[in-house]
Amino acid sequence: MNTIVIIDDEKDICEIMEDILRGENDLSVHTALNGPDGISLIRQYRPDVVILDVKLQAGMDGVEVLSGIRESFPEIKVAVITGYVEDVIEQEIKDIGVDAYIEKPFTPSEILQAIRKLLESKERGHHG
Amino acid sequence: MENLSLYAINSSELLNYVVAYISLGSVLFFLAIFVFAKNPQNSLNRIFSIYSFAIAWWSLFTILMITSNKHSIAYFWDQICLVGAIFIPTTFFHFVQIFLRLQVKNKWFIRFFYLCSIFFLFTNFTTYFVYDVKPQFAFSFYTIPGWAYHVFVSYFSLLSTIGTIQLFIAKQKSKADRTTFAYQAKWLFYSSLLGYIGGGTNFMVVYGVEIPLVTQYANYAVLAYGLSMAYIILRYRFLDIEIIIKRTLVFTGLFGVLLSVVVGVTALTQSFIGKYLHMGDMSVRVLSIVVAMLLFDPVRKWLVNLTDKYLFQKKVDYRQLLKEASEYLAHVDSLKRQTMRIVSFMIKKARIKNASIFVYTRRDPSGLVLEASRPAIRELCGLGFSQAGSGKGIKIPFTHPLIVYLYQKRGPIEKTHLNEMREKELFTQFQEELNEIHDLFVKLKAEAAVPCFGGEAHRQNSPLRQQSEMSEQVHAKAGKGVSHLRGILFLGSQKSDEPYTDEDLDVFSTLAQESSIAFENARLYDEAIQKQRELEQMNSELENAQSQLIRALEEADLTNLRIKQMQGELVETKKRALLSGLSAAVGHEIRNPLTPLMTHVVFCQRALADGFKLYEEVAPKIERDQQEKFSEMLKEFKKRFDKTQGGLDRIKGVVGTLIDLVRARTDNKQAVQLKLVIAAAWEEVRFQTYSETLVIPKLTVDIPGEFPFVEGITQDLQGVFVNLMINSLHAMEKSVNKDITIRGMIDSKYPAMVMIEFQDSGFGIPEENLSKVFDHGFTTKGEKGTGIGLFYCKDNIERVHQGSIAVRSEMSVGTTFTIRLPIFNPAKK
Repeated sequence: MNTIVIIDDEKDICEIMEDILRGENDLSVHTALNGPDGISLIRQYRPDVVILDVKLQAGMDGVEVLSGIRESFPEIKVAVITGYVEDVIEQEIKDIGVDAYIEKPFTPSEILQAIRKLLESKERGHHG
Repeated sequence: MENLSLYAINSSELLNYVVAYISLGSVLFFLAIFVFAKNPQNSLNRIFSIYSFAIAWWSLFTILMITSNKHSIAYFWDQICLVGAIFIPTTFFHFVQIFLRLQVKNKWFIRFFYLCSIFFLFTNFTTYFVYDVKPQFAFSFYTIPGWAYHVFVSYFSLLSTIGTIQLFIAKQKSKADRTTFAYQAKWLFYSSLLGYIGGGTNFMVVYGVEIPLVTQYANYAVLAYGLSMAYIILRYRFLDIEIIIKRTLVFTGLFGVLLSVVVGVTALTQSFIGKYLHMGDMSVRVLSIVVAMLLFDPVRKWLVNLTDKYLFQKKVDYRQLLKEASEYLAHVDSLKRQTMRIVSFMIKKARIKNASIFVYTRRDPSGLVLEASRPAIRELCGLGFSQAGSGKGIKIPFTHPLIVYLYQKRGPIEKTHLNEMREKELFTQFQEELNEIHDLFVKLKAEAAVPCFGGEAHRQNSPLRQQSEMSEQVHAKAGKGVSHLRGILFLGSQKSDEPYTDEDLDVFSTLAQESSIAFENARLYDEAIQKQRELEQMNSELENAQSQLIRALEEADLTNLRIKQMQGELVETKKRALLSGLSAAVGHEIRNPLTPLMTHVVFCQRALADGFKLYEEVAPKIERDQQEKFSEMLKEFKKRFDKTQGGLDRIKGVVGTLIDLVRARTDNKQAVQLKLVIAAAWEEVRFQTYSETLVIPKLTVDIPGEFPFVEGITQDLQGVFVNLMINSLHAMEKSVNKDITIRGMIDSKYPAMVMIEFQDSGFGIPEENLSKVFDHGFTTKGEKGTGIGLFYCKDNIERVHQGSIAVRSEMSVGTTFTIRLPIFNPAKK
């Protein structure tokens, strides 16, 4: 069972992610609307993949979350989803390192494909 | 035999004596009166006239004695004449004391000697003095001395010796000076010596000594003595006695030569003509006189010239001098040159030993500055001063008493006159001033100082008011409307050693006046030159300033331009920032809801697909018209969902393009590997079109391994290629061959760029559209097309990357885009 954590301040996005991933039997999904909640979810469930919107509100922003995850949970594959990102932040993200970069809007198949790829690479990473 | 007349001149010898005595006596008598009348207050004049009178008395009465025929008369006249003689030594002594200003010091001596004279006077009327008279030599009668006479003779000798020695000492003491006093002393000594030696022969006669010829003419020496004394007293300017003697001797000698020449010629003529022409005596004499007269003048002139040229310095012809001077001064030249000219003129033409000129210049308005002198004066204590630029200078400040004196006198000052004034001056203050002036004269070796007065035009606009205040005062003292002292001409002694006569000084004054005009001209000339130089300098400075100003203006223009540019850029940047802010907002606010929206639609479609399946199952179980309704409904749903999806896709596309378009990219272009970009773009395209069930065409990338890096932004370039690829996919939808070929190369025409050829095998772009494909809003895709894709590509490549994009197409064959992008050059950064 692979665990996915979604962190996005848009409630609709979280809901829709849940809808998209409901059909997948081997995936369990947890969502958070802000950074701190997201981090606590990660701590709790130790997901395989985290899908993170870089633009978050309420204190912690996406980049901080990202760097936090990278530091504390380097084995987690992180995919960044974003509607718009400035060059500066894009560069930061690149520097910190993301495993996937997905622009909104995405279709269900797009996001699923991305998650599958990440899981695959994680598998390979374990065995490689 | 006895004559009936009382007086007779028996021989020519006697006649000589008589003539001598008459001339001596009468001349000295008149001299006595004349000198007294000239200046009765002066003690020197008074004593001289008494002295002269005494000699005259003695001389005249001697005549009576020596020509008398009777013994008793002779005796009487002897006594009378000796009255005069008795006072001769005493008055001589007195005279010398007064001359030497020792009359107060030696007044007791003087009084004592007068007492002696009175004593002798008494004894004169006894036989102790004149024992008797007797015929002696040529004289009818002459003194026979008594014992008192002998005493008198010694007294006479004593006093005359004392006096003469005193004169000698005075002469020696003042030898170095060139004062009046020195001259006078010298004259007096020599003439007294001569006079007394000459006069002494009279005593010798008493003792029976007669030197032939000498005794006869000795009294003329006394005459000469008297005359010279008068000359000394009356004139305060006079020649050095040596010169006179020299000149007289030489001239006489030469004149004698001349005369003999004339006489000789005459004699020759006489004898010659007489011999051969047999003329009468009278006519011969007349003829010889005529010849002599004819010869005389030219020969005389020639002799005079000769003597002047070789023995004496020629007396200056003043008319000539002034004429030449005027010519000299007429040239307008710099002050320095002008003054130097005048000085050398003085030296050469006016025959002066040394000269110097002090002139008023604007440079230093506090006094008169030494401009020229011959010989050059390097230093003059008390008058030196520092002059900016030309080192030390010599100047007479306007406060110097000489200047004041010149203003008062308004005429030339002579050293001898100055000395007289010094001697006469009673007030010590004035005497000090006079001494100071005299000092200056001595330092400059000047015999005369000639002032140059000029107009006062220059005074009014004096800029150095403060400095010239002193001089203003001095000038003010002179009075308003009065001409100002422009310069002083200091003249040394003449080469002929003659003192300056009034005439001389008048000439020099005239010269000085002309000079002052010339100085003023020269000064103005100098000023003009100076002003000209200043103007030139100002001009060049102005030119400099002008060119600097022009440069500054140009720079200001440039700066203006740059500011405008920057403003433009700033506006641009602001716009971009604004836009990017907007686009960020847009991106975020549209893309976020869009995501679930699209998913919802997908889910709906899925659900619909399930619905269709269910329909298949349910259809046989329901009525036909119910089947149709149901089917229609499902089809309706499908249609609408598909359309919705299409619309959402379109929104997605548009938003994406819009955002990219206005994205405020920071200008951090990097070295981009196009191969990677193309690969990433292809991935993205495949990903994006996954759901569109497009057949993925074959992509051929023909880029050499050593392909250079391109300077650009990876994201942007990727976007460009994505756009091109998607376009190509759409274009190849209906094509049989679906090939995209991307070639990379370097065009030799543009070696700093790489060239990418993006070729597809789509249906092509019709010719009439080729020029419009990049236009904003141009689309051939109907509802699907956005019209922004290629616009974005062109904008990005050209504006952001400074490259170029061009298109060519062949209908039903395909389209090729040619993209040029700059090669990354690390050196440029």
